[in-house]
Amino acid sequence: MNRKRDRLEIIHDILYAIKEKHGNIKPTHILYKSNLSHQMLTEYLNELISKNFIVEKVDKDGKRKYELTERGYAYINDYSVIRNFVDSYGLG
Amino acid sequence: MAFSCFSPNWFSGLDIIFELIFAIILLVIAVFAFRAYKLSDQKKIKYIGYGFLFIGISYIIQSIFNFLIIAKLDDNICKMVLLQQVALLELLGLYSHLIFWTIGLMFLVYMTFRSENKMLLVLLNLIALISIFLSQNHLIMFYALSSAVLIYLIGHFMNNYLVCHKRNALLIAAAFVFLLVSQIHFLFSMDHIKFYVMGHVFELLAYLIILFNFYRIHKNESKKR
Repeated sequence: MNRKRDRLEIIHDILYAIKEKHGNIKPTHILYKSNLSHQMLTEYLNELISKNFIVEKVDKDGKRKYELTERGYAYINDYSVIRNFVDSYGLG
Repeated sequence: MAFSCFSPNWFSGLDIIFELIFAIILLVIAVFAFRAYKLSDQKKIKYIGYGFLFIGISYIIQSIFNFLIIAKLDDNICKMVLLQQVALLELLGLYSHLIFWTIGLMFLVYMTFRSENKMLLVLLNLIALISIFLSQNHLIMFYALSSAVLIYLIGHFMNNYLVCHKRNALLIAAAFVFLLVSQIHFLFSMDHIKFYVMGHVFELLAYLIILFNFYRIHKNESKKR
């Protein structure tokens, strides 16, 4: 499908990739899963951190990993409802 | 929408119940929209929340004023002073309803635009409210303007349905068609009081469809879980 994803869906894809790996995911893996450019992913990750959807952790090897916060889990749980609501009113 | 002078006697009081039902439905959707906005940070969801909130408040105001009018008329129908108070209450109720309904509708229009410029929202509201209050007959202008805006919104929702082919989108388009029909009935209710009742019935249908769509979204999700 060549449909362009909206912000709501991109954020869901990033958070879902993090959830699947139980908080043990590197930026390159998120990049691959979310199908974004490096620059776009960096912008989204920074935004998600600043809005408390995810937290960044640095392990002893200096590698960055990401974990979902409670708000991040809530977003994934409510995503379908919000998605259908948004689609009903043509806001996507 | 209730304006006591256009209402048949048997419908007085019932219209207040109708308006409270409309308000409750709209406030439920508005609260959900604000919650969804808080979580998703999507501004368009916030605008739909404000739209439904303002329209919901307009019904609450209208029902309160209609209740006060009925209460006053029941108490002292023959006293001239009280009749003047009734007229004042009716005007206050009418104008607050017009203002809140118009602002709510303009939020819904604004949500359909790609622009994030808030001045556009201010401009839309100014044009609408100035047109209504500078016209010779405020009510006719209000209903005519609401109908025109609703036609635009139906176009948006139908277009959305044609793109996504989802039943939820069709339900919302249908609900707004009923809202448009209700506004047209209210336009004629100034001459024929039966249109006032019909307008309420169509409005009720519209809001029940919006509520059903909301219920459907949640039901489908809980089935998946």
